[in-house]
Amino acid sequence: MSQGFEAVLSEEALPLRPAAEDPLGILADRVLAGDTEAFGELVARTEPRILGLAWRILGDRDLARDAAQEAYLRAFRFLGSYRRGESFEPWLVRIAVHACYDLSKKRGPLPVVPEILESFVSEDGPLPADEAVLLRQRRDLVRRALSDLPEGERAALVLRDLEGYSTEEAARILGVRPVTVRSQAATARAKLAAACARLMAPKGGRP
Amino acid sequence: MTNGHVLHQLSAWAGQDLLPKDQDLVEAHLAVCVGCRAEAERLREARAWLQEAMDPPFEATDHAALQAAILARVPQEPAPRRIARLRLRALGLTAALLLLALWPGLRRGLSPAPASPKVASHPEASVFPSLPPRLEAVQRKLRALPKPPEARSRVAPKLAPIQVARLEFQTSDPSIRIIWLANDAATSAPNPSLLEAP
Repeated sequence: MSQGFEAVLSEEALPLRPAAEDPLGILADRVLAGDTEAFGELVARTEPRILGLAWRILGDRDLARDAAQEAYLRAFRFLGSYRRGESFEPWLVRIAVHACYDLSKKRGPLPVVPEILESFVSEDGPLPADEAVLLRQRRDLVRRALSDLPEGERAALVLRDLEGYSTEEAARILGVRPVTVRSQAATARAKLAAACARLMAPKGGRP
Repeated sequence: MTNGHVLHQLSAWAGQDLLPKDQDLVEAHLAVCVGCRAEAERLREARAWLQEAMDPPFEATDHAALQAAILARVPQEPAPRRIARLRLRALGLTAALLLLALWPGLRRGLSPAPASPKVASHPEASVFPSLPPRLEAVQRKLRALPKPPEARSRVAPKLAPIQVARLEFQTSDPSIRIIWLANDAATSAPNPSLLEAP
């Protein structure tokens, strides 16, 4: 078991809510009671979100699939540590984030993308025929800028601005204080905006 | 705000991470400051690009394949069991109480044992409180040893002069002889040998 995941099990508990209000929690209880088919239902309900989250953190389809699969296997293995009444999805997201951290350490360098898009930008804006290429390259550059962020800032930004978690929820998932998430997310936004401005700049400076 | 501008607060403002009153102050400033408004627009645009670029690219077949792969591996895992937290807590409490009860004994075991030569180097101490008459003479000899200098430093034992008294006793067993090395230097080093064959 990785060091990161050991931390998962010892972190502060996620918010409690009556199990009756959390259908995923009910499914988890059924799995714990021996109904392993309920785990299939649990996977079906949560997998799109977990896979999307893993892809947003890792920026790689294959790695994201591996991370999501690993997250579910860990979740099944350690389902006993899930507290009855605890909100299930943040518990699962926490495991997924740590699975992503573990896999990101094994990732090699990202494929090189063009450093700037200026070749497709004229003074009157992008040429229509090149708009699709420009859009694809802009996506690549934004993804590259996101992946260049430090792990904590990237996770904070993904959870806050892409996954829609509140600062407090993101803090509990990441096992840090809310003020840390605020700071990391704000720093990440500023870095990303600066990177976008730099990468998309026409010759000679900012747009 | 810095010089009335809000540039350093904009990224927190964009995520609505400021206190409500600061959020209002930033918005009021943006209404009148072109420079800060341009920077806020740049942030907004970057966030929009981020959301557009990071829209997950997976299709239904990807999800189905992943779910199938997960469920194929799950049967190989041992069935999960709920951790009996109450039982765990009771176990922890018992261990803590046990440790507390044994702590004095453990501390004695952990602290270095007082070496007999150290005791012997202080003649005023009752070294042999109930020794046979034959050993009374030895005790007197020990008391006759010169007193160690006061306030001897433990950190520099090599600098202090060391006086060693060697006392030997033959036990009833002819193969066992007891040798006392009375060292007046305070040291925790073990006595090299208390038993020595003749």
